[in-house]
Amino acid sequence: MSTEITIENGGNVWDGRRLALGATYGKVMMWFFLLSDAFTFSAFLTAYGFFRFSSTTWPSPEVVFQSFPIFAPHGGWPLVFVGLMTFILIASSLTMVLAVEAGHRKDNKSVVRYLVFTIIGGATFLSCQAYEWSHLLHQGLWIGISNNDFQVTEEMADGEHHGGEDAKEWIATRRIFYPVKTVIDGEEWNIGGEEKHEGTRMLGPDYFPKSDKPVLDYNGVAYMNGHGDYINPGDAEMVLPSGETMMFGKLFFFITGFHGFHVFSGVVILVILLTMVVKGMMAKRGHYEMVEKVGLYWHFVDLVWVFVFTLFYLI
Amino acid sequence: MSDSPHDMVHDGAYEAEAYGLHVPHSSKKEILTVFVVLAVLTGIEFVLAFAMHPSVARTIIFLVLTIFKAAGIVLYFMHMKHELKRLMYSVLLPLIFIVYLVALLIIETQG
Repeated sequence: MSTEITIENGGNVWDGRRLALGATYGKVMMWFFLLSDAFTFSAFLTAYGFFRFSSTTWPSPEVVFQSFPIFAPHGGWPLVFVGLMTFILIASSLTMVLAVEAGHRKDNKSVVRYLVFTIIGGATFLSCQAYEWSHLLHQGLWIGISNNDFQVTEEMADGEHHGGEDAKEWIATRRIFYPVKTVIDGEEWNIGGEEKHEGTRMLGPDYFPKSDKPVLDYNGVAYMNGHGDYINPGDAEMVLPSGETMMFGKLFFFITGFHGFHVFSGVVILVILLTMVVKGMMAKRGHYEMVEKVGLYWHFVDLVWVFVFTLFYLI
Repeated sequence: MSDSPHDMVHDGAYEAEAYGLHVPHSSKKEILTVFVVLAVLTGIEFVLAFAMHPSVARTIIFLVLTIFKAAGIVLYFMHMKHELKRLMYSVLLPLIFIVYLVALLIIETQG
């Protein structure tokens, strides 16, 4: 059999009766759907890159993502968990392509086995993502206005966090914070981490328009209350994340959420496909093209994750 | 004989096979090789995230490795390598718009 379409009776390849692109309608349309989805994802990821590289400060991924369930719930294992998630997703892509390969051999039993592995991989990935979401949520990041304010108020009100050193320690243990040099109005500031900032800086009252409580800026840059009065850092009742940190949170939850929704849809589609294969519908049809089409979608989800991994976790 | 191309497909037969087409697929060995390469590239990225300080060079290395991984997935896992060139170009060429967008943003953010 040739990979090229034979043009019978001198007809044109586009005049119908043959597959002009060498694939069935369903498969070609799946490819074009994935192309449109690639544009959507690249718009989001490009926006992320745009904000990332046009900001003077940005949360450091190995500081943000360093917890691991059970073994290191409070951090210390940077990027290990997300490395594991990536491996799980690539492995589920492997079992998916093996299911497609088994389908070409019309081996119903192997298709079922590999599809089950793929579903387990997808579900595990989603569980990992749920853990990571919940972890970052508890650190005060979210798409909208974070509930960080309330949490800090609670923590500081319970008597554990008082005084300047405690406030600084509290910031340090938030993990999102990381030492950076930043430039404000042409002046360079060392902020965060082990380095002490070189001074305090007053920002206008409009910086905290909604607050009538003493506020410590997340970068440790401004100590003030909502009326624009200078306050002692230890008297702060709220810590606000920096603009870049909040931007990071918004982009992280939106983009990984959009990707996670794709994974979730993929798992649902895989379960439907599995029931069809178990019932013997593919064997009855005589071909397993449906497995191939679902496989294309599943690999695409993996493909997007490869980019998400690089942009959010490595760069 | 009907005009509909679907009428040419026998009931229960794989449409592509009924048209006398080679159904693209990768061998098991090829699949496993690609998987190992993907895992190793991810491992290298993981190590570089700690071994190198953030820099333009590191970012470029990450992006190149990422594009290699993406190509591995598209060409082998999604069997694009074995599809007709026509389909391949129909899907891959429009991606040039993404390159254009990224190039524009890189130029503009240098400002």
